[in-house]
Parts: sequence; structure tokens; C-alpha cells
Amino acid sequence: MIAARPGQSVASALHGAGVRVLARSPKYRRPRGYTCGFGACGNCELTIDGLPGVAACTAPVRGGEVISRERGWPSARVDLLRTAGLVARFLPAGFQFRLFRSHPWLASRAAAVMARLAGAGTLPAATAAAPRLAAATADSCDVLVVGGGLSGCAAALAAAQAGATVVLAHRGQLGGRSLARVHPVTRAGLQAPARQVATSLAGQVASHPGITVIEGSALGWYEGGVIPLLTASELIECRPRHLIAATGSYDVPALHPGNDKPGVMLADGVGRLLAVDRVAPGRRAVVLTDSVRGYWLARQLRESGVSVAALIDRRQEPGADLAVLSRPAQSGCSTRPAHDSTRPARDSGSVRVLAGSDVSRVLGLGRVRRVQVATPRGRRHLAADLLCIALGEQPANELALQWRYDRAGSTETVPGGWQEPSADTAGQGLTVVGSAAGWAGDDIDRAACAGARAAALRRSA
Amino acid sequence: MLPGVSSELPARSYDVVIVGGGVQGLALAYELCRRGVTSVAVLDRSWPGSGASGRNGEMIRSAFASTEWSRLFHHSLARWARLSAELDFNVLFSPTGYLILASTEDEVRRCAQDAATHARLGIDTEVLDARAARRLLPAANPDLVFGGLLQPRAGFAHHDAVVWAYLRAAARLGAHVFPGVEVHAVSTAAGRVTGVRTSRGPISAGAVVNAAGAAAGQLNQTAGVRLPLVQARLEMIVTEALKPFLRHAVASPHLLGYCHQTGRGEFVGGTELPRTDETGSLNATYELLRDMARKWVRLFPALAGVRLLRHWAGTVSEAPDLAPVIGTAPGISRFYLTIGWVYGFMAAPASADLLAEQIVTGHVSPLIEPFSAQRLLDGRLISESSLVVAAGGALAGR
Ligand SMILES: Cc1cc2nc3c(=O)[nH]c(=O)nc-3n(C[C@H](O)[C@H](O)[C@H](O)COP(=O)(O)OP(=O)(O)OC[C@H]3O[C@@H](n4cnc5c(N)ncnc54)[C@H](O)[C@@H]3O)c2cc1C
Ligand code: FES
Repeated sequence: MIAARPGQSVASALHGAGVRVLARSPKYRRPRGYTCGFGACGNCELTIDGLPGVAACTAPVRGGEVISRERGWPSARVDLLRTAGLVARFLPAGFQFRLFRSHPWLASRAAAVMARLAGAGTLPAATAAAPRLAAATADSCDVLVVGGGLSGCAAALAAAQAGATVVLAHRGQLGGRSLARVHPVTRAGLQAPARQVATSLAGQVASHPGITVIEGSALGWYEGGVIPLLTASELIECRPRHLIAATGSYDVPALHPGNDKPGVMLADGVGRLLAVDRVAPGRRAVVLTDSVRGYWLARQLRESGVSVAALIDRRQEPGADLAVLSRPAQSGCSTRPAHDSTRPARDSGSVRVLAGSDVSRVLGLGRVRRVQVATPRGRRHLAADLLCIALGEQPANELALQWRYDRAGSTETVPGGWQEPSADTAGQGLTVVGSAAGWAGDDIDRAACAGARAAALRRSA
Repeated sequence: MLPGVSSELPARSYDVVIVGGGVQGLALAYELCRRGVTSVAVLDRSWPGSGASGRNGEMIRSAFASTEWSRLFHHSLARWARLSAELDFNVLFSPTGYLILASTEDEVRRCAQDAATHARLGIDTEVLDARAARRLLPAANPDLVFGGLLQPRAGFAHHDAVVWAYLRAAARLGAHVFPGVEVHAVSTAAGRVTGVRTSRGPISAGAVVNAAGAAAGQLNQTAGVRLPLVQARLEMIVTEALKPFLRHAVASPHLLGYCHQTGRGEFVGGTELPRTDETGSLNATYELLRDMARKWVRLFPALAGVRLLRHWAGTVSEAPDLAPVIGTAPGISRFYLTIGWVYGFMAAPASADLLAEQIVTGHVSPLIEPFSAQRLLDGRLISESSLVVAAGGALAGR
């Protein structure tokens, strides 16, 4: 029996049900499982209600969806049946999933992605958008913020408070990756766990009358300054006077044999399972890191009842980061899974840290069983069913680059090179904030300043 | 790294300098080396395959409406069939069949006319009625399928594999390929080519070949060669992998589009608007994204809801008749052209073969003779009505 809470992602519901293989690699048919948690890696693509290629980690369970694996292979059929709330049952045959309680959400999404663009007629005008979007017509938007994470929300709020009309486009739950993170961040002099600050900022954004929140994707920046925003039901052509790209970042995977086995997960994907979906990512984890991130993740795992076999730190000297493991519990970051079919024993001991070490190989047939670690004192094998990769982040800078290519007239010649995150382009109508700009920390106040400045520039224009 | 690509500076002098490391320039380098000319340098301002050769629709056919196009491209098709073996690299040529779709009664009649030309030239094609065409394209909207012309042995290949294969084969035979070297001008003296001026200094050459793709017109002008060429931006999309639903390469003159499904299952398609986009930009546009989505979902309704993997643009140079320009540049000896290519991917095995022959022996094959630059100056344009390219010139049809 499996339980699925409304709002939980399809991939996490399957993960909670013990389903580790969600997809197969196109060429060698290697098993692939839940990895990034934020729709970025393509390892969890399922066919949901006939729509292929849906990132199941970002698709909320609404109930009633018919789910099947792509690249068919003989396996089990699984039905998730509802008893009390949304409880489901595992049945063998044909690898299909049925999530109870019918809902047309995914079907409408099916229509959205291409049919909205396509169809026989013309595109829906911005004014024909759903009532809640009616304010978001192309010419009424001073500032478009793409991305509703910590920095996007902070920038949107500040711009709106400065009197600008703001559209904030965001995929999934407002708050973004920070909803999965528990490390402390500072906003206006006050410190609190990232998840808590993100939740509070998201609430303020949602209730601010000057901000229209659009749940959907910005398809890109196109010639003429058009950003098509694709929602579940509409395509809105947004022509903002100022664009704030708060598109965040991607977790960078590690390079070692077996790095694609189900059970190897990226940090934010793990955090999302723990804090948002409330599903145990595994029983026994190894964390690989080169920064304080890994320490916070190890702590989050431990506090959620997942035992941590070891924290592998590539650095020789973790220094002050070690203290993260022994700090007293913060309020608001207890992320113990509410329902957990594979509930592990609570690990009461402290986390073993192997400094100056690296993961050299992942062993296990079809999923993680053991992690081979190269330490200064030789090779070691650790039994684990979960390897968490908490390494660097790669800015999600596609939108900003498209803006720059457009201004350059071509993709071949971008003055100043391919990436120049520090360039001040605000005067020209683009501000990049947060990890999309490569900012090292969660500089919420700086993002807010950028939002206020965008609003001011708009006024003086 | 790319095979045969040199990070050293080019030498001071070569027998032949080829400007442009696209499929045309690389195939020509290979064909020259094969004929014993081994002092060959290919200069590319970017990286090999960075131009249209790495951005095209990969489609290959030899069934055209005109005798000129059909004969040249049929020579190419024969070479495609054994190209992997010849270059010792799998270029993934898939002779799945190439269907020119007829969506109006007029287009059906044209298919029959073209088939008569093909029969005369010994090109194997088959005219399909509505029923047969719909059987071939079960996923297509029957309202757009009135018939068609099928060339069973044509199809598509993998463009990156083709660039790689020619690059490797040319390098193995001794050609030198230099990325990141921009040619600023073609130098001449007394009506004869003397070399090129580049971002890495001057290079003298016994012969210079303009294979600069979209930039070909500009390069010509540096040598005082004025031909009516424009550059045109073309765009394409590719979707995520789908279960096989489309076996053939399909060109639709009605939609001004062409498409195929790769072995991995991705649907690859491009369309055009009925105008030439001369901006020269390599940015993909929203306008074409909408055009492609609309048209392809209209032709294959099941594509609705399928996610796009990528959308990109490429540029080509176009003559008023949309036919290529192959051979010597008017008025300058030892300056050769292989430019104006809108279907220059599928033609490369033939055009490189025949141009190499001309450079080495002076013999001009009757297959490339109609495509001389002089025709543009004399107004002897080639009429070809089966192209799926927005008409740039007076004679070009759909
Ligand atoms: C979207 C699209 C779809 C297409 N579909 C098809 C198809 O299905 N079938 C088909 O046969 N053809 C198709 N084509 C056309 C085909 O791609 C081109 O005709 C072919 O690639 C031309 O090859 P090329 O080597 O002449 O030019 P390119 O591949 O463009 O190469 C030219 C090279 O020259 C270099 N260069 C330019 N100027 C200089 C300079 N001054 N100095 C140094 N280097 C320079 C560039 O960097 C470039 O690498 C398509 C084209 C596009 C854009
Ligand atoms: S895309 Fe879903 S796990 Fe990465």
C-alpha cells in the first residue's frame, strides 16, 4: 500500500512506493531514476495521461492520471488505489500506473505545450487569458520576473512595492529550490531557514496586488522583446519593459562510473523529497560535497531519519563547516517524512566525515548498493542505497544569454564573450539576479535592490 | 576533439586554400587529397560544421523537377549509398524513402510531370494516389494528403556524422583544417588568385575556393566578384523522442516544410514563411516557432502536446534561382566557388567530387556546367519547381 498526498509529485509518490526505475536511457537502456527533482535532468520522464516526456518530479499528483513508462520494457503494472485519502496499491503487470481520482490537469497540459502554439486558428490574445491572468497583458507589464525562487520573489516584491506592475512567471511551487533547503539565510537582518523564508516570501508575493503570478514557463527571449509564457491553458505573449531573470541554477552531477544509477541524486532533489514531498529518499545515504551545502544536506537527512553512512568532502579541510552537523536543531526545518513505507531507523550517532576524499565508483545492479570511496588512506566501500551529490551549481542563464544574443544580432558574436554575469545591463532592460547570475550566496537583499532599481529605471524611462 | 583539426598556425603557403569548413569545404578537401593534391588547407572562422552543415534538415533526394538538379543530385545519391564505407565512418545514411507530399490537385499533377522527367533520367520514383500516400503516412492529416511522389532509395543522414566523417577522411589523407581563422579577403593580382588575407596573417595559394556558406557573397566581393547572392535564415525544431510514426523523409511544398523522424525517435522539421529572411542572424524566432508548431501539428495532429527539445536557425546563401554556383569565379583564374547552396548537404558528395576534378584536371563535368556563375550574369537562370524553399528570385517555384 502506498500513500500519496495531494500536491506531492508523481515521481516522489512512485519513489515512496519503492519504484526506483522511472526511465531508461535512450541508447543503452540504462535504468534511470529520480535524480534532480526540479525537471532538469530528464531521468524521470514518464507518459502521463498520454502526454509523453513529462518530468514526473515536477508533476503534482492530482489523482486519476494514467502513467506509463516510456521505452517499454517488461515489468510490473502498478496501480495506486485510494483508500483513505490517497492511498494506492501495487499490482504487477505491464508497467503502468493509475493514480486515483480523475483530474483533467495533465490532459490540458498536453494540449498546452504544442497545440496552443499550433491549432488551426490564431494564438489566443493576452486579453483572452484566464481571468486571473487578465492583468498580464503584454503592454501593462513594467517588470517581468522569470523565476519565483528566493531572489525572484524578493525582486518582484521590491519592484511592486516601488510601484511597478509586475508579472512573475514561475514553474511549480513559488519558492523554488529554496523550499528544499534548510540552511539559514538572511533577509533584512533576520536569519531563518531557507525553506521558511521562501515560504514567507512566496506568501507575500501571492497576496501583493501589484504582482500577477503566472504558473508556467517562459519559452525564451525572442527578437522584438517577446517572452511567450506558456501556462496549462494559455500562451501569453509578454513584452516587458524590464526583464528580471531569476532563473536559478542547476545542480552539477559528479563524474564517476555508475553516476547514473537509480539512487544517485542531486542535492536539491534529495532536499525536495525530504522537505516538500515528504518521502524518504533512501535508508542509508552517502553525501558527496565540496562545500557547506553537503553538511546541511547531511543534517537534513539525519533529522529526517535517514542514516548517513558518511559525508565525503573533496576538500582537505572542512574547517568551520563541521559545526553545521552539531548545531542545535532549527525551528521549522523538521522534515521527517509524514508517511514512509521504508521508514529507516533513526541514526543517533554523529556523521562520519571523510575529508580529502572522493567517490570513485557506484556499485550495484540497477541501483545503488555500495559506494566506493577513494580516501587518503586508500579505497573504502560503504553500503548505501542513496548517494547525494552536493557539489557546485551551474547558473540557469539561458534566458539571459538569449537576451544577449538578440542584442548582438546573432548567436555567433556575443560581445564580451559567452558569459559575463557581472555586466550591468539594467539600463538596457535586463537584470539577472541570484544564482542565475552566479551569486555565491542567497543574497536576498541584493535581489530586492535589483527589483527596486528596475522599477525606478522604468519610471525614469 | 575534432579529428584532424590543427591548433597550430597555418603555413605560409598551400596549393589550395578552402575558405569554410562546412560539408562543402571538407568534402572538397577530401576529394582533392584523394586526387593527390595534399597541400590543402581548410580555414574556418568558427569550428568545422558550425555553419549550415551542422544545422540542416539532413534530407537527401535526387528527384527534382528539372533535369539539371536531378542529374547532379543523382550522382550524389549514388555516392551517399556507399559513403559510410568509403569514408570508413558511419554517416547514418537512412534510405527510408523520400516523399514529396501533394496537398492540392495541382501538386498531384506536378508529381506526375516530374515522374516523367525521372523516368527519362533513370531515377526511380513512384507517383502515389491519395490512398497510397495516406497508407504511407498513417499519422498524417488526410486533408493534406492528396498524393505524392516517392523516391524509395532517398532519405536522410546524420549531419554531424557527415561533417565528422569528411573531416577525418580529409585529415587522414593530409589536409590541414584550421578553426578560428577568419579570411578577411581573397587576394588577386593580374586577374589571378594569389592567396588570402586572414586573421592569422596572409597565406599564399595556387588556388582559393569560396565555400563560405552564407558569407560567400561577402567573400566574393573582397575579390571584386559581384554575383546576386543573398543570405537567408532558415529555422528548424526537434522534439523529444517519440515512438516511430514516420518512416519517410517528407517534403511538403504546400506547407513550405520538410521533416523526418530520426532513428532515436525525434521528429525533426523545418518550415518557411513565404519570404526570404535576409537578416543573417542565427537567432531562432518566435514567428517561425509558431509557424512550425502550427504546420506540423496540422500535418501530424498527434504531435500536439509533444515537447520540443531544441529550436535553432541556420543561414545559407541564395542565388535568384536558388540553384548552387559551382565552378570558377568570373574574371579571376584559380578562384573557385561552391556557394549558393540551399540543398548543399545532400549535394556535397557530388559537387565536391566534380569540383575537385575541375580544379585538378580543368575538366568541367556536364553535371556541374549548368551551375556556372556565368549563368547568373547572363540571366540563364535554372528553373526548378520542386524546392521547398521560400522563393528568393523570379524563377523559383514552390
Ligand atoms: C535549417 C536548414 C535546413 C536545411 N535543410 C537541408 C536539407 O534537408 N538538405 C540539404 O541538402 N540541405 C539543407 N540545408 C542546406 C545545407 O545545410 C547547406 O546548403 C549546406 O550545409 C552548405 O554547406 P557549406 O559547407 O556550403 O556551408 P556552411 O556549412 O555554412 O559552411 C560555411 C563555413 O564557412 C565559414 N566561413 C564563412 N565565412 C568565412 C570566412 N570569411 N573565413 C573563414 N571561414 C568562414 C563558416 O564559419 C562556416 O563554417 C538546410 C539549411 C538550413 C539552415
Ligand atoms: S527531471 Fe525529474 S528527476 Fe530530473
